[in-house]
Amino acid sequence: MEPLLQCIGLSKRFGPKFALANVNLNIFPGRITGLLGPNGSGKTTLIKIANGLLTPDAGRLTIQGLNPSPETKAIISYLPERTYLAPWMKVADIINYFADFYADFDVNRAYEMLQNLNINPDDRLKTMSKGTREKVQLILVMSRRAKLYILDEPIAGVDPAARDYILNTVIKNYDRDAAILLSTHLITDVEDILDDIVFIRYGQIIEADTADNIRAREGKTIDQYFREVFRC
Amino acid sequence: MLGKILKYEFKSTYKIITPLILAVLVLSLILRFQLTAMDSINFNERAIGYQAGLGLSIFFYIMLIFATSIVTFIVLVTRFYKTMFGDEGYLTLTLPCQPDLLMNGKALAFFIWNLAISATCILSFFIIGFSKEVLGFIADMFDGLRSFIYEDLGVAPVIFYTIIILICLISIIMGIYKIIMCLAIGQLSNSHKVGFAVLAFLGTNFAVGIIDMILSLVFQLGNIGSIYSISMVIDDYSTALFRTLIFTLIKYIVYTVVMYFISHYIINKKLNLE
Repeated sequence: MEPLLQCIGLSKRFGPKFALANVNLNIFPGRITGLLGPNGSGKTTLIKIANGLLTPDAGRLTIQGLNPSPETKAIISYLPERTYLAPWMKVADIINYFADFYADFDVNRAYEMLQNLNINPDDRLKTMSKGTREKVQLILVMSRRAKLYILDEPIAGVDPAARDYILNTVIKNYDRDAAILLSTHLITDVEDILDDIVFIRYGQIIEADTADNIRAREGKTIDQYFREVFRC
Repeated sequence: MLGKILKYEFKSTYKIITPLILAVLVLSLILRFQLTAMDSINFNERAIGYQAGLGLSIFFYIMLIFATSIVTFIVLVTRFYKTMFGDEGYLTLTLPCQPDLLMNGKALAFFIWNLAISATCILSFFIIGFSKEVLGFIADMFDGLRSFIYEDLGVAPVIFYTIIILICLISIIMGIYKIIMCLAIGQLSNSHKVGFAVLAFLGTNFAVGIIDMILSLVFQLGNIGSIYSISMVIDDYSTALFRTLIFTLIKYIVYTVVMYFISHYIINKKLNLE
């Protein structure tokens, strides 16, 4: 099977410091991959390169064999770790915006999820709590029928009840031939949905395997193993 | 895609800029009414109230023109910065279109608003001062200018006017790409991005000033002042004026192209979102 996302010798430096150092990684369709690592390990740098927000200093990152470009952006649905929506806009305006720019955006799916979370489409983002804004962002991202969903810390800012809904939303709404790359440090919450695990530290991949293999081999949960590997 | 980009640029800015434009036009009508009323009143004690009212209107009019220009500038620069290099950049720059198209779409919206403000000012002057006498004065002025262009410059007026209009348009485009380039340079810094953008703006103006001075010294054509020295050498003031205009146009085009490619390079290769 061809990888959906492939990194070959990928490196990125900020000044003298390597944010990514010779990263080799494959993400396959139909898999949910957890990109796990402590703060500053290079997770967001990798994600930004995949989304064309950074250019690598060496190596390649391809999506369906293509360098990051408008063609790859059309098939990636990206949730950054920060609020990227204009606060003056109404939720309904933002839905129109996504529908205008993304051919794969499903407006009905977005309104259905808004209704399930009791979010009024006529509310402006600036009147919402941070958690609600993050839910709106996730709804927008998961309302696309993308090939690759890249979610950077999707559950960090929301309450535990909303986390469950969000994770269910993620699982329920992605197409089976699509892939999800999910970066988080809240491993306990996401462990059950992850198919593959990638541990990253100091810009290097130190472990990449299926979640089942790691559990069987180490006799621990992924969370326990993460704490052991990344013990300070 | 360009149409969609423009749609959202105008949607996010028209609520602030359009009321200002309308306010300028309404105040122009009020001023026109007051000036007409003044004409029909003899200068006696009764007219003092009218004069005070007119003075106040003129004061507000001038303030409003300034406010419209400054607010429009701030709104457009802020919008560009937030949507390209601020948090909203994470959405804008991951839309399925070339970063160049995004940059140029925003620049085009900036340009159109600039033209709208300029057109508003011209329309406003006409509303305030429109009369047969003013029209006659403008017609006389253009007649004089036409004979000057024909006889002294030796070129067709249409060429002269085209060059003047092109200089005006290119100078607006150059100003827009200068701002975009400075914002792009500013975002390269890891902190105080806006401060660095302001420094880049001051630095660019300084560099352009130095280059202008060098060009002026080398070619003796860089500015109007140098015309006199040329006219002494070649004894042809008119030719020098025309050459200066052509030179200014080429210079502005070159500056614009350089600023465009620097912006293009940074936005495509050196993005540094927070």
